[in-house]
Order: sequence, then structure tokens, then C-alpha cells
Amino acid sequence: MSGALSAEIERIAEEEARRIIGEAEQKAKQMVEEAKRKAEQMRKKALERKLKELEEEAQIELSLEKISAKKKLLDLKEEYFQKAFEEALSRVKEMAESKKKEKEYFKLVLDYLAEAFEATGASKLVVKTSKKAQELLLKNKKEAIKELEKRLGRKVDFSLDEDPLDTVLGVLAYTPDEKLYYNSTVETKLGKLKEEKSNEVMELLFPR
Amino acid sequence: MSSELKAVLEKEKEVAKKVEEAKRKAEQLLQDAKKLADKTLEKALEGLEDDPAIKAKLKELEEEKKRIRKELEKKLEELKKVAEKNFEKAVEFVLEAAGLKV
Repeated sequence: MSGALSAEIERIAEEEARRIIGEAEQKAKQMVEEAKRKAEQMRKKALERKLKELEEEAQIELSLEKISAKKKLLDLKEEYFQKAFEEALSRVKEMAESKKKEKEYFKLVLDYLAEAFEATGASKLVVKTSKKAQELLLKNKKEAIKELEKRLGRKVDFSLDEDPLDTVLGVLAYTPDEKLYYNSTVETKLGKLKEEKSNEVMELLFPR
Repeated sequence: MSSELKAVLEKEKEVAKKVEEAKRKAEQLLQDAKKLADKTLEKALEGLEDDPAIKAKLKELEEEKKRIRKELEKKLEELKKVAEKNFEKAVEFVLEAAGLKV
């Protein structure tokens, strides 16, 4: 009797133990499966988010790259634009320094002088000009006055300020009483032209 | 107490221990499973940057940058050629506009 009972108790206990372990195994399996599923979802979402971020960053980076490229193109245009003006000034400088082109340079000096007389309306001016122009005007004063009078259609005269003007070409001319003056140099003229004729120069350099 | 009853009670104690043991094992099993689940979640975001989709996107971006730079170099070269070709005309224009043509 007791042997049979003991066996029954043993059987029930083992069944219970199996059930407990079995349920735990099942629950553990579900737990791990659920974690895997969640992890996969998390990774998928994180990947989507990361890709979206990357796409946004890429768009910004590419925009910056395009802006930088545009700037380089504009810089190049600006470089040639400036060069054109520098070259123009350099040619005038070359003219001022070349014995062969002295006559041409002298004509330009007279252009500036004529402008000074026209602008001030004065009949006599004291002229401050470049060292080279000083030399030429001193050497050819009569010829200069004759040419100026021919251009202006009236009597004019000038004397030279001893101090040279720091310019490649140009004058600072003033009346003896210093009430009127006219100041113009090739450097300022070119500077003004840079603003006024920038479109035309750009169009010539880079036609559309 | 009869020896038979004693034996039954003894057996009951013995099997109760077995059930307890099974419960402990089950508990351990669940704890291990939880650890594994936590680790799985922790690792979910690891090495994301090595994901092929991310790598492909980065490569695509690099290639696009390269393309833009190459295109820029080409444009700069073309622009230089055009500027060199037209440079004299521009200088002449500046000289003319500044009244420096003799």
C-alpha cells in the first residue's frame, strides 16, 4: 500500500516539476523571441532614422559643396576682372617709363590737364603731377599750352608744383589762390570704372 | 506512527524538495532568459554604422561630392580658357573707357 502511494506521490511530483520547468522554458523562449523581435524593430527604426539623418546631412554637405564651387567660379571671374584693370594700369605705367612711348604718355597728361581746366574754368592752374609728367611738362611747356588752348578754345597757363604726385598718371591742379582744385588720377578713374563698367567688362571676359 | 505513514511522509518531503529544485531551475532559466533578452536589446544598435545601407549611403555621398568637384574643375578650366581668350578685348575696353587709348 505504502509503496504504491509513494510511487504515485513521486509521479505527481515529477509531473509537477516537469510542468514548472516546461512552463519556464516556454516563457524564457518567448522572452528571448520577444527581445529579438524588439531588437530587430529597434534596429530597423534606428537605421531608418540614421539614414534620414545621413540624407539630411548629405543634402547640407552637397549644398555647401555647390556653394563652394560657385564661389570658386565667381572668384575666378573676379580675378580676371581685376587683372584686366591691373593690366590697363600696367600698360599706362609702361608708357610712362618707356622713352619710345613718351609722346603717347604726354598726350594723356594733356588730357588730364585739359580736364582740370575744363572742370575748374580757371585760366591759370598750379599742377601737381607725376615725376615723369613734371619732366615732360617742364620740357614741353609751350607745346603743352598751345595744345591746351587749341582744345579749350581759350588762353590758359600753368605752373608746376615742385612736389611730385604719387601716381602713374594724373593731376592735382589748383588755382593760385587755392580756392578751386581738380583731382584726378588714372588709379581713381580705373577704380570708378570698376564699379560703373563691371557688367560690360565681365560680359567681355565671359560672354553668355 | 506507523512505519508506512513515516515512509509516505518521507517520500512527500523528498518530492517537495524535487519540486522546489524544479522551481529554482525554472527561476534560473527565466533569469538567464531575461539577461539574454536585455543583452539582445542592448546590442540591437551596435555597429549600426557598419550596416550596408549606411555604408552605401556614405559612399553615394562621397561619389556625389567627387562628381561636383570634378565638374567644378572642368568648369574652372573652361572659364579660364574663355577669360584668356577674351582678356585682351576686356583690357582694350577698359583703356578706351578710361580715356587711355592713344
